[in-house]
Amino acid sequence: MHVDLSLRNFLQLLVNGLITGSTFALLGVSFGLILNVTGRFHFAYAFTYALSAYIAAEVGLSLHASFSVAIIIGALAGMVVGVLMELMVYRPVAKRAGVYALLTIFVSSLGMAIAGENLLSIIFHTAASYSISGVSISGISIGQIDFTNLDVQQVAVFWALIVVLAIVLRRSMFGRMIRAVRSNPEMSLAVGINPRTIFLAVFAIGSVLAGVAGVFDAAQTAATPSMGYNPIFYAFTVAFLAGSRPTIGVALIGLGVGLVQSLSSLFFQSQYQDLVVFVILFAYVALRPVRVRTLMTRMTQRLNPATAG
Amino acid sequence: MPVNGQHKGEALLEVHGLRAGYGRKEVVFGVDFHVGEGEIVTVLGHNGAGKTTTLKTIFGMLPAHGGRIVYRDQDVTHASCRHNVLQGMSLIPSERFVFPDLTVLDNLRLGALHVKSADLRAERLARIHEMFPILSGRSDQAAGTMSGGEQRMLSLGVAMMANPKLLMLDEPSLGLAPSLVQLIFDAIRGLADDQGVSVLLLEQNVGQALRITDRVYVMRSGRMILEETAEQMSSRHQYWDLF
Amino acid sequence: MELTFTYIDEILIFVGFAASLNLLMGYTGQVSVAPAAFGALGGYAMGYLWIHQHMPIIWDLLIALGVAGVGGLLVGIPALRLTTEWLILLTLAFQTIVTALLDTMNAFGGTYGLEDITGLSIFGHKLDTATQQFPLIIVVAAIIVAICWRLGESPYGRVLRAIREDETATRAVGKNIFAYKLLIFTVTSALAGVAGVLLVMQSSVASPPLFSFDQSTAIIAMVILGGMGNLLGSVVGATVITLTTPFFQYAVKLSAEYSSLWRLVGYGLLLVLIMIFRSQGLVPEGVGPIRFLRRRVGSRGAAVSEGVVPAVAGPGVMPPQAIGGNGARPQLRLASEAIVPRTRADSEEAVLTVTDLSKRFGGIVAVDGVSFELRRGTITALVGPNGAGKTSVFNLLTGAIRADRGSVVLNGTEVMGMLPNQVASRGMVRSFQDVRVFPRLSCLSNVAVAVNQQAGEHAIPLFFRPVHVASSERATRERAMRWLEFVGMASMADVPVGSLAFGQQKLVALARVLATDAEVLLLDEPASGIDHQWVEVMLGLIEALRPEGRTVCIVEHNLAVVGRLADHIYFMELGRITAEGSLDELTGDRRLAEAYFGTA
Repeated sequence: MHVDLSLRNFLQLLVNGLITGSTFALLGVSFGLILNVTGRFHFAYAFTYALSAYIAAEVGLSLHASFSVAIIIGALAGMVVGVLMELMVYRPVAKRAGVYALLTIFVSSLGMAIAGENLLSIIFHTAASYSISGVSISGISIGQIDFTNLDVQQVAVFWALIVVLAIVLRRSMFGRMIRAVRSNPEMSLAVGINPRTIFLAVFAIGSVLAGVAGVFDAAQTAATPSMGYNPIFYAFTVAFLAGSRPTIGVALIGLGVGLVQSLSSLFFQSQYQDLVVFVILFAYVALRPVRVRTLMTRMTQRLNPATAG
Repeated sequence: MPVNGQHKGEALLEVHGLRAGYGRKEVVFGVDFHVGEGEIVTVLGHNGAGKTTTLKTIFGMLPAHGGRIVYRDQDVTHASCRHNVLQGMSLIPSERFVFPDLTVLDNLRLGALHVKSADLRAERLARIHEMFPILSGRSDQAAGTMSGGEQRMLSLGVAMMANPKLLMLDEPSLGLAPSLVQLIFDAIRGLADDQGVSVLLLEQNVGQALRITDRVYVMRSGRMILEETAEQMSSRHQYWDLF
Repeated sequence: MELTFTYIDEILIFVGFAASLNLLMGYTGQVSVAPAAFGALGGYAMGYLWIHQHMPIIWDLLIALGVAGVGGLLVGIPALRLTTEWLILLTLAFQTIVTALLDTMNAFGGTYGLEDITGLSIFGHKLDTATQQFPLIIVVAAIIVAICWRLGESPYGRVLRAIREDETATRAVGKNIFAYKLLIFTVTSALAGVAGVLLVMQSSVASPPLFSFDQSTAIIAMVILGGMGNLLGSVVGATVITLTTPFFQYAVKLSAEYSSLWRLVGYGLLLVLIMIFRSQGLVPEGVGPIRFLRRRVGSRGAAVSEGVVPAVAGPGVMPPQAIGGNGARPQLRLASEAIVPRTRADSEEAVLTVTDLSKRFGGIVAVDGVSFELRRGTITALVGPNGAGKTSVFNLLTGAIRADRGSVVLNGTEVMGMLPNQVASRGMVRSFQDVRVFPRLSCLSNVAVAVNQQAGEHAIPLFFRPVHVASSERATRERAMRWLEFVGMASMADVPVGSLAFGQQKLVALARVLATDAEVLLLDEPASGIDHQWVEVMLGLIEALRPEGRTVCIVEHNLAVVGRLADHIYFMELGRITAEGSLDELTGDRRLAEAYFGTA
């Protein structure tokens, strides 16, 4: 156990934690939106994430697009795929599965994730990794704490998106409709909302955000076909821990998880970081079972055939 | 503008031989009834008689297993909820009848989802605040934190934001103090009298319903067993054999 | 030949993985995305022990069983108490962590894993080539399948499938759900560990890709393709999925690398298509190979039209006599004898005494100081307006919800504070308003699950006293059949209950509740949701229970039904009992009329 409790180390880890935490925040918010509104266990989010990264990389490569353009195109590609998944897979599955919807949706999602990941491997030539061109990374040092300009851009963009989403949900009619479906699916029918349209909208939004996260991930390192699996684990974790909290609350929990994970390096070797999150999850589950019931009732409500998409 | 009840003869809603249920469970075994313009019609019956199922099927939340539903001369047997709302139907469920996570104001705004004109929305909002003053002070409060009676008033306000032609209410008196029930039922009568709104009311609270209703149907175990006017029903000594 | 054996070995290993996962997911309905991770626990344990200690493979297998089993226990204890979504998340977390740790820890060889696991032998027989490994692999795989078969296709398996269909209902007939789930989760994890050992032996390395998330999903695909709840299907699924790589390599002539990629694309899409079109997999549940073929050719099950009301046994047939029994029971009377209408005047003892039962949910008082008693051999009714708390009382009596205070004494025993399965075994069970049958199980199985004192429902006798289990099962099926006859559903014994009309499902649910031999039956709205012919049938059956000495309490809203059945009625309002008596007494009470119908 290598413990370095110097201030420098602490601050560096703090900054690292803020950066990772911002990613977890965006992941949790976007995945949580889909989960809480539609009740769908959208595992194939991992594929949307990776696909957006690859499209962005490809666009940069063949069209020499700038980073900003690459992000937009990559995210839009993710959005299209996410919406298609809801339209062409989840909706028919949910219709036929009836009471067994949760498991069948999850399995279909799993299938899409696997098929998608490996199609990416095939199309973009197996395990070779793609980098996003048009990204110039330069280091920044404040005091003795190091990070990059890309980190700054990433944190800024992610939080901007989170805040915009929070505002749209709270203040626009469209956002109100989404929150209505999330809050009381039956009542949303009573006021004449079409839940199917809202489901599509939510998949669009969630997938765009996933896509942005994926592109930045690839910009930091590179795009690999299985790059979505670790992020989706964190997306799930944050969304489940946050439950039905409002957007900013979910984001803050994501930030918290990132900070705890990073700061755990003060005490444990950094390779055990995932383990730390796992332990947090298990501890939470063991100590606070009541929360679980809230999520369960909301999910079973969403699976009510009268209101399901 | 106020419309008096001169059109009471025409049927706004007609239900013929309706059969409905949940999946394999048949709950309604063929019911017929109608609601005229500007009329208040109450369906009485015990719990589990099929009243709620009937209402939800008319509204489009549940698929009809058989029969016909005609609303404003259109066959809406298999119409979607959204279509029915656009045509002026409004439903207030018996439980969970507000959006608990949303503010009072957001709830009301959602009631006016399909109202295009902002002026019209503002006008209606003002009217509802007038009718239920307690709501105007709570605009930013989460609806789920209000008392049961306040939520009921809100649910009525939400329905009224859409200026419905047919208002369908499922046991609005449930769990409310008698004074509040009075208030709400008076508001419902007012809607019918002043604006010609037709009302389909499901109730177990016979007493209160009889104060405002024009006609009464009684449902038991999925079938209509009786149709009477309010006067005829009121003259009964007891209601036990209907339930 | 060697190549053939390589594929056969691989298939058999994955049959082991798939069968154990199927027992967990297909039979018990608990989702796990981590079968490969448990395989890793076993496989790496073996690899480590072999490299560092040259431990013989027999010990490796046993230790792997233990390590993986303990892993399963540790993950299962917190995870199985929760809903499916959490179980998916936690097993996903487990899979992620295991893979990540193995990838980075030097003790386990990091990304390359533990290499050069060769030179194994068993009882002097070398295990170097695929051909040499085959005997061990097929024996172990066969043992795994046999264990899964015994657990799944047995009275024990019937309980598992009931848990899968409806946990609440299974608990309500007296089973300790958590114990079953935990045992199965532990056993299947242990078996996966054993399969992991075989995999490591076959590959000569213990490396992270062998036990990756991709591998777990492959195993899930095998289970789903073959059919959840069908072990034969798992063999089919394992074979098909394992052979896709050589298929792509040799038939479609792709390179090895592309073969494995297309294979994954292939069964990813396959999973999606199966979920859209045929979520029960290729081979439907509960069907062996012969019946499967016969079903395809023969009639399409006996779906009964809704208008057909069964010719019910009712007064003509006597209900089966209770097993054992605690204390003296009234003798069965022949139905032809005149049945003396029982009234409260008959001084029957109180079988159930409830005192001051109370429950609040947050600010709302659901049940407020309720006290009443049920007398032996009588039918009592709980009536009252909506929201009066009647169903809550049932939930509190059976222990489904924990009461805040109060006492519930059943035949002299305090059952307050007990879990539903304990209350059920003490002799009080309830039926559900929404019926809650086990849809994919046959009518006979639905009822058989409820029969108590079955030897086959416990793991130890299941494996070590097969003869006793077999005769216990015969007796169980006989009793279940007689209860089906009593309700008039004997002709549908083999039909899955989910395909029946609602009224028929209600009859099966009644038979199920009766099969528990519980003295006190709490029936929640037995006459709701069905047309009057069916109501007649139900009422006749409930009336036929009186002479048998059962004590019944019903919650009903249809007062005609209440008037016909009830010997005594309690009226509830806002969580309290405010009146009691006969129907005439209650309906004559003005104040009650106001409470029920409201004042003008």
